[in-house]
Amino acid sequence: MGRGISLVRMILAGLLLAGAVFALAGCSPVEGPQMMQARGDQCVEPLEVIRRDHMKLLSHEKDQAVLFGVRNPNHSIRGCVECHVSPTASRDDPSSHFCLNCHSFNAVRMDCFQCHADKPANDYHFHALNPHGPGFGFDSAADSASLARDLESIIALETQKP
Amino acid sequence: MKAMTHFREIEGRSKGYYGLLVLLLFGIGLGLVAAALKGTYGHHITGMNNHVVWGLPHVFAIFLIVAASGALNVASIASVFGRKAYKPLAPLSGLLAITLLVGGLAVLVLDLGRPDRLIVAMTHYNFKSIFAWNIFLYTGFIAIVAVYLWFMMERRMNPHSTKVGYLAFIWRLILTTGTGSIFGFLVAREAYDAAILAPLFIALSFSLGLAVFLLVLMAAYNWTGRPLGDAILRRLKNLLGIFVAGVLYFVAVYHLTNLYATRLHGVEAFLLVHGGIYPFLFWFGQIALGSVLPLVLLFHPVWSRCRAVIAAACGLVILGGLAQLYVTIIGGQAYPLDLFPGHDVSSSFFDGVVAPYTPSAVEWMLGIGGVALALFMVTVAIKFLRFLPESLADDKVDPHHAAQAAAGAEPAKA
Amino acid sequence: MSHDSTPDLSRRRFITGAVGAVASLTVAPGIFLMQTNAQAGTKPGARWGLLINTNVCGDCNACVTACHKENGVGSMNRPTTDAQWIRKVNITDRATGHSRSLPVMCQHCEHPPCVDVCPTGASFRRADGIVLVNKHTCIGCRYCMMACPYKARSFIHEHLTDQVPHAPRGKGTVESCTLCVHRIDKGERTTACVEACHTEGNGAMVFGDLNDPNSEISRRLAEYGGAAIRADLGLNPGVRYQGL
Repeated sequence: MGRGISLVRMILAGLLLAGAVFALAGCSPVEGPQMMQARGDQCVEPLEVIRRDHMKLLSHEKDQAVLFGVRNPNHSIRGCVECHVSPTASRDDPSSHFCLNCHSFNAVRMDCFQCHADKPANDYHFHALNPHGPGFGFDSAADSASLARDLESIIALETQKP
Repeated sequence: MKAMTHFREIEGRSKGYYGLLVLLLFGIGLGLVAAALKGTYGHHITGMNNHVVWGLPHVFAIFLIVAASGALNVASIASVFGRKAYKPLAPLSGLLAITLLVGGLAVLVLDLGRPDRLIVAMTHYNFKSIFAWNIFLYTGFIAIVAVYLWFMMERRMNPHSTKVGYLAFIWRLILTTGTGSIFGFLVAREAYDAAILAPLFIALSFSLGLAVFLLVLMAAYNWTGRPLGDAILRRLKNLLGIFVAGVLYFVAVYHLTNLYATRLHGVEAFLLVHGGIYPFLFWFGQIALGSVLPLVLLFHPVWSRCRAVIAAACGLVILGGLAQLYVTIIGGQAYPLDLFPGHDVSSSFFDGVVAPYTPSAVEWMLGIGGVALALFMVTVAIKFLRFLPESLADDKVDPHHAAQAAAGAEPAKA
Repeated sequence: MSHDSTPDLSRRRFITGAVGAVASLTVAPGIFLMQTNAQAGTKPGARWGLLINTNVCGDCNACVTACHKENGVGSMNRPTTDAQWIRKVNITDRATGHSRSLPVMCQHCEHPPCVDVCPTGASFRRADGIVLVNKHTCIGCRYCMMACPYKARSFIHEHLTDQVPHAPRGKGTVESCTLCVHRIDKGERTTACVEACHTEGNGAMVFGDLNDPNSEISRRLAEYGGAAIRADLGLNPGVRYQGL
C-alpha cells in the first residue's frame, strides 16, 4: 500500500518534469516589445548604467526630493516620462509608453504611475542633456513664468495697504 | 491525589463539523471578496469618507483585538492567580487569544488604503506612534502566547509555563492599554483624549474576551457531546458578571468626567441625547441590552442556572460591546471638530455638521470575514491538536467536588 | 551640503556618471550651475508659512480654485469622499453675530499630531517647516486624519488618472496641502492660493519665511499680530490669521 502511493508520487513528479522540459524546448526566442523612440539623443546616464540601475537612481532621487527637497532633474521620474512617453500616450497602446511597455514585458509590477503622471505635461521639461528642450524649466529652477509670478505678487504686496 | 486532565482532539468527522467549516469558509470568502473590491475600486465603495475615516471594519477589528487579549484571561487566572480549576481551560484560552487577534489584524490590514504595502509597516517605524508600538505588541503577543501554549501542552516544558503565563498576562495588559491609547492619545477629538480609555478598554477586553470564550466553550462541548459541569460554568458566568459591571463603572466615570467640563457638554449631549443612532446604540445597545440585561440574566438566582440563559447573556455582552465600540469609534468621529470655539461654522467640507456615515455591505463582509477567520482557525486547531479536555464534568474540574461525590454527598449548591 | 545626491553605484559606474556630468558642464555651464543651486535642498533656517487677513478675505473662492487646479485635485461629485486641500470656512460668532470667511488648509504645525501618530513615518515635517505625506511609505491607515485637529487631510478613495506631474496623487494614500512645495523647491516665493488671492481675490494672503525677520510676513506679524486656529493645542502652526 505505502509503496504503491510512493510509486504514484514518483511517476507524477517525473511526468511534471518531462512536461516542463518539453514546454521549455518548444519555446522559440521571444520577440521584444515594440518600444517607443525616445524624444532625445542622449540619456542622462550611459545606457549600461541606466538600463541596470535606473530603479536605484529613481529610488534615491525620490527620497532626496521628497524628504530633503534636493531635486536632481536628471534623475527625476518626470525626466524619464518627458523623453520616453508620448504626450498622447495611452495605457491601451503600450508602444506609446516606454516604461509601462518594458515593465509589463519583463513582468515587473511597478506602481509609479498609480500616483505619478504617466504622460508628459503640455509644457515640456526635458532634462539638461536633451537638445530639444530648453534645458531649464525643470522643477529645480525658476523659469520665466514663475519669476514673473513672483514679481507680480511682490508688486501686489508693495502696493497693497495692510 | 492530583487529578489529571486528559486533553484530546475532537473527532471532527460529523456533518455538523464540516457544515460549520463550510459556513466559516464562506464567511472568510466574503471578507476576501470585500478586500478585493476595495482594492479594485478604492474606499469610495464603503461608507467611510474623509470625515468618518474609520468605520465598521475598525469596529470589528478592535472588537476582535480587544476580545483576543481578554480571552487569555482564563489562562492567566490559572497560571498567574493560581486557580487550579481554570487550568484545564488554559489551552483553549490561549488558542482563542491568538486566533481572535489574527482575525482582527486581518481586518485591520485589509482595510488599509495600501494593504500591499504591509511590508512598509514592518520596515519603517515611527516610535512616537502608538500604531507602531501596537505592531510590536500584537506580534509579540502572538509569539508569547504561542510559547505559552507550547509550554502548557508539552509535558517537559510544563514547569516553565507559569513564568510565561506571567509574561503573557503583563503583555496583554500593555497590549490593551496600547489599543485604548489609539484613541486616548488623540488630543484633537473631544470624544477621545482621555487617559481613562486605556483602563476602560482593559475592562472591556475582560468582559468581551470571557463572553467569546464562554460561547466557544459551550458550543464546543455541546456539539462534541463532551461533559461540561455546572461548577466551572458557574464560576465563569459570575466572573463575566463582575467584568460587565467593571466596564459599566469605567463608562460611567468617563461620561461623568466629561459632563463636568463645560467644553465637553456638546459632545456628551451628542453621544447621550440628540445624536440620532449614537445615543440609541449607547442606551439601548450598550447599556440596556449589553450590560443591564446580561447582569440580570447572569445573577438571577433561577435563570442563571439555565445554560441557554448564560449563552444568551454572553451573546448580549458581545452585541453590547460592538455597540459600545461603534459609538466610541464612529460616534467620536461623527461629532464635528471644534476648530473655532464659540462660533457657528459651515463649509463645503462638512465643518460644523455631524459627519454622515452609513456602513456599506462591503464593510460588513470584511468584518464578518475577520470573525469567520478567527473561528475557522479555532475549529481546525481543536481537531488536530489537544486543546480541549475530554471532560469538564464537575468531579474532574474541582478536587473537592470529586471528594464530595465519592463520599456520596449532594453537590453543594451555590 | 549634507545630502549626497549620488546613490551607491559601483565605483566604475560612478566614474562614468561623473564623466557624463562633466560633459554636461562643458556643453552648458549655466545650466549646470542652476542645477547645483537647486540641489541644495530646503532653504537653511527657513520656516515657510502663510498669513491670512480674515478682515479682508471675503466671499470669494479664488484660493480654493487655484489650489485645486494647480495640484490637479478634482471632484468626483461625491462630496463626502472628494479631496479638499483647502476650503473656505464661514464662521459666525455665537455671542456677537459677527461673521467672517477664511480659508483653512494644512496649518504646517511645528509639532504636528499627524507626524506623531503616523506608524511608518510617512507623515513628516521638512526642515523648512512644510508638513508632507511621503506617499511612497504611506500605507493608508488614516490615523493622521484622526489626529489632525484641522481636518486638513483627505484620503484618496478612488483610482486616479491624469495627475499633474508635480503633484503625484494616488488611490489609498492620504494627502493635504503641500504649501506648493514644487514651487518652493524651484525657488519661487509664492503659492497658488496666495497668487490667486492677489490676482483674483482680495489680497488677503501672504506667503513667506517666518524665520526671516525682514520678510513681509514677519513684518506684518510683528506689526499686527496673527492668531493660530486652536492655539490652545500648542502646535504652533505656520499658518496664521489676522482678525480671528
